[in-house]
Amino acid sequence: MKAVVYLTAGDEIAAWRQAGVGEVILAPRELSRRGTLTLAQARELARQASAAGLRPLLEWDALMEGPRLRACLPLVSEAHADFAALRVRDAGAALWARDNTSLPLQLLLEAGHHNLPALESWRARLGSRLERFCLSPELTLHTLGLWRSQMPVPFEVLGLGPLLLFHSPRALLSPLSGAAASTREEQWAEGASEESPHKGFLLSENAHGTLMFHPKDLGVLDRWTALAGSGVDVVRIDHRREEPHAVAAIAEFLGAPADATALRARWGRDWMRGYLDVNKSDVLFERLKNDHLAYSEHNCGEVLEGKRESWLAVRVTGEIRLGETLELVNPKGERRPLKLAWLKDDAFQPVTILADGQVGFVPWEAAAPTKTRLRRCP
Amino acid sequence: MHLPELLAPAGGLEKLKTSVRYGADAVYLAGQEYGLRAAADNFTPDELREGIAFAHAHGARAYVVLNGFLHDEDLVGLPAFVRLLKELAVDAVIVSDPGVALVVREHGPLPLHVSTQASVLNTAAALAWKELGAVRVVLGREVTVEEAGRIQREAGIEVEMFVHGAMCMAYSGHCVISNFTQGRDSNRGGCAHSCRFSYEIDLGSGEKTSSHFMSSKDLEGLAVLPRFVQTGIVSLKVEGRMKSPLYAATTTRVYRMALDHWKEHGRWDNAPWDVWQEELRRLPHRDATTASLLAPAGADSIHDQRDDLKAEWGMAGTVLSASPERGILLECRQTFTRTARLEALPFRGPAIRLQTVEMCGPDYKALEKSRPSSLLRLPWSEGVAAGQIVRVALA
Repeated sequence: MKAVVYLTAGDEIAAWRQAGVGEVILAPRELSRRGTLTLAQARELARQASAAGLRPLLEWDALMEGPRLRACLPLVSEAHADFAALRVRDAGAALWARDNTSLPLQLLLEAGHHNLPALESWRARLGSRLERFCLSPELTLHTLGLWRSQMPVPFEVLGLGPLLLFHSPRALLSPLSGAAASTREEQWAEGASEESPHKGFLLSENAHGTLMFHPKDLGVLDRWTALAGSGVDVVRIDHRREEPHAVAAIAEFLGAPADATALRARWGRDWMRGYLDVNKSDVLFERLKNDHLAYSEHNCGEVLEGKRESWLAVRVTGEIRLGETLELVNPKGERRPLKLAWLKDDAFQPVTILADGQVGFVPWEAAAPTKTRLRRCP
Repeated sequence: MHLPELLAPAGGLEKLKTSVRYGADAVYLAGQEYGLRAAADNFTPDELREGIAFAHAHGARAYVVLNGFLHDEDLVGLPAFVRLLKELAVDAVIVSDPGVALVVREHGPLPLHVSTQASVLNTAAALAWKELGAVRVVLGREVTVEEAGRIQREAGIEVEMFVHGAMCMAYSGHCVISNFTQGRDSNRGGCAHSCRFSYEIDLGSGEKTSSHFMSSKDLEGLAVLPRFVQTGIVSLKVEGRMKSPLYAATTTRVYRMALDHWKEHGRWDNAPWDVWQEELRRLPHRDATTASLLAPAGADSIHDQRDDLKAEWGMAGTVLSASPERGILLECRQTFTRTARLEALPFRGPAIRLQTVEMCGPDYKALEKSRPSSLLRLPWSEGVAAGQIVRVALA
């Protein structure tokens, strides 16, 4: 398993090379949502990296509405020859790059793409131009391993760095500071929720809008062996929010990646594992539903209201007849028989049948609140 | 000139029927899984059958959302669900994941619409989805109407845009705050609405400020309708499957009236904009914005205040039956007294004032006040019919 890192200045090249890094990411602010380099600086650094034997990767991860995209296409056309591969997020940008450049493509699929057919779809469309999938931090090690055994395209995951939670195109910090919306320079802030225990969110505003990061960095490098064993090909390390000494710490770690203790101690922010071991972020949904009120082919009505010792008002969903015995199933799942000793229509007049769609009245029964189902006994 | 489709929310069967009765050209709804509103009533298979049949019987189309970011395990039951939708003659499915699109193609096929969750923002992205078989894209809310028209022309694909309702502040599908702070997958229906929270922000100067800086005002595109029509946008979508039948009725009714005005008159200068806008603002709402419909949303689109929705009117109930002989039987949603101001919303035309002085229970015993989840009888008023929504003025 290899590591890919960001290149933010020329003096990092020697350290990355010495650490055995083969690829570096260049993030120009015109194209990258966290980019700080100008495109000219990125191209110059790419040339230096190439000369030092590193593969320079151009990051084009900003989402772009039409006018911004059109403005960027000539920039990418002109600059792409300086790079060894293009990292792209927008579906349209990916297909444009396929059709208008000859670069290998590293597809940034960190939002969604949580099923193998989604990856297959991209593989079919990008063919041999597809060099790598950069996958979501919501995937577990188990899933990564399962997929990699069936997918011939290499995988990259975030190994260490800020975990992006939120990206809005709107400028949300400058209105607070009274400054003009950022067009070039990044503005950083820290946020603490006043309605939940979460504090220490990193916030950034730049020309691409506003980004919010988790209070802890995603850090799974202490699982290096497991990641490698699952078939992950590349881990990404993002040191751009760290102090300059982080470069040396990362280089040291990459020399002996089995132990991340020292790197963790020297990293400026706490680490969290996210969903690497287990993802149960859908378990809540089951509890949002009441199975007792679920559809049944035997349902024939629903209680709208009850008057104690007198009547239940019902909306009929399947014809009911005087004299038959139904079952009441309340929201708690309690069941009681209901003998239709009398029936009344919506004008409270006695009838012998209530048809599908009618509102009417049946004898009262205890523990039959609103939403209780009437069921025909199977 | 082309009249856009009016696409209304259907969070449950009652809301579907309400949207259709009030004039929606199409409704969007979800089954029990695969969508983004896990807490909505949503539709059982039987309700899907009934709802889609109801829509078709009234000349409306029904689109089913499958727009969650689905994991492998979610796909297990999807082929059977797609086959059911095919059998029910659903008019399209709305997807955001290319893997789901493949399953729909293989097991339907059904017309594919691309959800706003996919953040289609430019012509190239629309073409990428067209390559996957999509016939329509629901553009990201960051796209202007002008740019949307360009995408529709250049990509040769139908374009749908949100015209009204609550908005994500983030690029749709690019917010996982709930996932990593509350363990709830926002892109499979578990959004905890963290963007509506108050945050203490330290801008680095040492001074901290309290702000709802991530909360967006609600989209109100009523005044932009002339631009939508002129640009030829195929479909206009109202957000709000989780909202009340009163919301479904009011928004559908107002936008229907506005589009019908254009159809009838072919001009907008004589349109009663103030009346329509006042109707919309009677619903519980945040402050309104046109967001990015005309130009990229600015600082004035931020709803920097507690998320207490303003409301002049609430939902009183739904008319179950109405006739001159038997009066009006109302399924009540909240408490009000004999002095309350009640109005029925007819499917067409102005609101109808209801008499409450003689209100009584279903057994004709006089009542001083209503109760939620109870039935109520009111005297007959001309124009009131079953299925109409009744609103009550809030004190």
